[in-house]
Amino acid sequence: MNILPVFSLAVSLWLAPAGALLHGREPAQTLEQLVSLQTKVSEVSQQALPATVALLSDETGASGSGVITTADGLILTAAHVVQGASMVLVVFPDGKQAPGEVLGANLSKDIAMVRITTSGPWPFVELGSSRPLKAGDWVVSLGHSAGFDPARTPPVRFGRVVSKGPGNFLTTDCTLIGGDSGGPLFDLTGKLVGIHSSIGRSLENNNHAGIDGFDVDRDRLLAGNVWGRLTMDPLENPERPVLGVLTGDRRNRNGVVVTEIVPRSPAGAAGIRVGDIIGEVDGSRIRSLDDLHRALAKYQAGDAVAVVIRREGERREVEVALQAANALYR
Amino acid sequence: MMKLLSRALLLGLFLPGLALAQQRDVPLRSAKERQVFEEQTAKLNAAFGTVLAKAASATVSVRDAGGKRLAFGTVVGDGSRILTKWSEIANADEITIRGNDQLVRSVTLAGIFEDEDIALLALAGEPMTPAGWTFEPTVLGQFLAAPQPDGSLAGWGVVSVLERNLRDTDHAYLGVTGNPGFTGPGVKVAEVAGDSGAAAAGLLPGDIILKAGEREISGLMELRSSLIGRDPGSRIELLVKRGRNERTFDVLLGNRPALPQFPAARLRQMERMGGPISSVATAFSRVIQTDMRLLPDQAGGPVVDLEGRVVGITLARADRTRSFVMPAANVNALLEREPTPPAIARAAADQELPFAMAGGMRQPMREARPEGPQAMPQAMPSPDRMRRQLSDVRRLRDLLFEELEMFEMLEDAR
Repeated sequence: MNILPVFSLAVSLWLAPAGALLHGREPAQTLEQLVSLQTKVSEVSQQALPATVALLSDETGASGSGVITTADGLILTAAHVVQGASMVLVVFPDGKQAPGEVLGANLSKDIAMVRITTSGPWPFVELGSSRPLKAGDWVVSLGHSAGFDPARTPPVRFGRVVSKGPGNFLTTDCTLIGGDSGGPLFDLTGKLVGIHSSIGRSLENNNHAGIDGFDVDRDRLLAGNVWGRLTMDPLENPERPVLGVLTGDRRNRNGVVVTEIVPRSPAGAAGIRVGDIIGEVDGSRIRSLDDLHRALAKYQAGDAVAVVIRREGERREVEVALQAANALYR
Repeated sequence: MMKLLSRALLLGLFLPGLALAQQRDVPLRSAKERQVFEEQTAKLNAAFGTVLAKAASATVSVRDAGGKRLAFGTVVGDGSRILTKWSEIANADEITIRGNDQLVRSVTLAGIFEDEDIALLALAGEPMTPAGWTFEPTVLGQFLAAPQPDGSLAGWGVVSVLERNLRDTDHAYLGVTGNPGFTGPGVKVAEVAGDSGAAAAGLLPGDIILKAGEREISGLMELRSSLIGRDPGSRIELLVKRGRNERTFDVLLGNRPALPQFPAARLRQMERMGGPISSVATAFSRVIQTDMRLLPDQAGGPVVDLEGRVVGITLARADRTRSFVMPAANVNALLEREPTPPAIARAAADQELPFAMAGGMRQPMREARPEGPQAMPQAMPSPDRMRRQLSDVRRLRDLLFEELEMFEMLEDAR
């Protein structure tokens, strides 16, 4: 598979300062706080371990991880782990194995479901929420690194959220490697918040599909639908959030100039007009079309973002409910 | 013991656009996100700093003649001996150490524990402060931290996997391969290795192994797992279905044969993503696996728990996700053993190297020498020669990996 390079331009953004104390952000500046953090990491690891399974496919030769989320054996995993397979071998950390049927997959979000076909009850973890996660939130990661190994349990890794986006994805410094894909990411209460997906070169670049991505897709995944496109390039993702404007590509000191409003677009509904200059998106300054793409890539369709525009020299702020590109341009 | 599946497994992890060496750390990270992360890192490092002081006085930098750091070392015993990472220092002509007090001291190589890639150094002059060990077993998710000699943090991580033996040949071996097409329950024997305990006990292809000891076997993976924790030389009772009958076989477990393991190109590529790794990073007899980030030249130093007690010493940076720590009890057991004298270790290394990974490639180089192939037994090699060979092997290994990678990428692209 050949995939285009991701995010090639070097621009940094400034997000509006985050509000009060953040979800899961346990302080760690004293020894007592480290000890308390350690207790939580240890508890989450031991609790999550029995439900962290390896998924092997003899059809595709793939080997990845997954996590059981119901007593009757519903496994969440990454789409690219089960792509092309109809059945997988589910292997528990103690070597016990069971057959799994591949259900649906959304390749754009790199999420998929598998169901164990023999009767449980199976060990499982609880679902949490990925949307409230912010940079600095502590997370615990497990996965069958480099494939199932009977001589060890799936290695625990501990780290923090580094960055949000694109879309439903989040980046942490819990280091991942081949075989971890599809494995679980937990918050400090032991709730599942992500599914391992991809890595970049840096140790801080480990990407996970946010667990909330399963919410809207649940029925289609359970029904066995397979759709979407596997890419981490936000512009390649058909479900990427858009304003629904076309812009001039010339650089403008104040932002990007709107040259056209797409019919029925959220930008139009929010009152943006042709000739407006988009200068900020949720506190991030916009100097180029690339800035705009990067700013929007951190959000998801349905999110409301504050957009600052200039019209005839006057500063205005409007709120735009972002829409999925494939919904707007179909 | 047996092949996992009929062909090589593709390890799932998606590498977006990596072939084009996209270097930006975290593409979408905002300035605000970076700031939050960095402030948190500073606080975290300061918090860890409070438990490092004691162990830092038992931590040294092991340096070459030019003062370049090669590895960390841990002061042990009565304070006159230091353990360090052998493969990192083996190339150096002259070694000194620098400790917590910034003083440079001279040391001599006292011996080598080759099987653990650890060198024992003897300190000339006044003893230093030895490590204060704890022998309590570590728990999953426990925090670990490694000091630098100056008391700052070298790295921290959690216990990723509890203590285990990484040496394949120390694991119990049954001697059967399973039929991967068989859906169970149990394992259908495909082949029985000729000189194995399974063959001696009378197992035959087509037998279905239903139980190993008291454990019901769901399939191949579980059979492999059921052998973990059993020792070679011990016996295991297998409940086997042959035709319509069920029979019990009492099998003497052997040692798992050493099999060369070449991870696939993608995995090798991923192992190195995120920084350099140790050149000797496998086959240790007892390790705690941690996600601690270390540089190869930081191996050999102590690792502490949140009470500042030394739980072990770092053995290697193994890949992007893991480092290995030798537990304190095993470090102390090692110190009870007589190390191999340096001259003998070097001779052994000299003999082993041509048969190691570069075996087929060293031969032509030797023949190209004016004196031609050597028929006579080799004299004890000089340290110099050994160093040359070590660096040859490293170079050849890297070349080999690069070529394999290119080859496999071409295959992938097809």
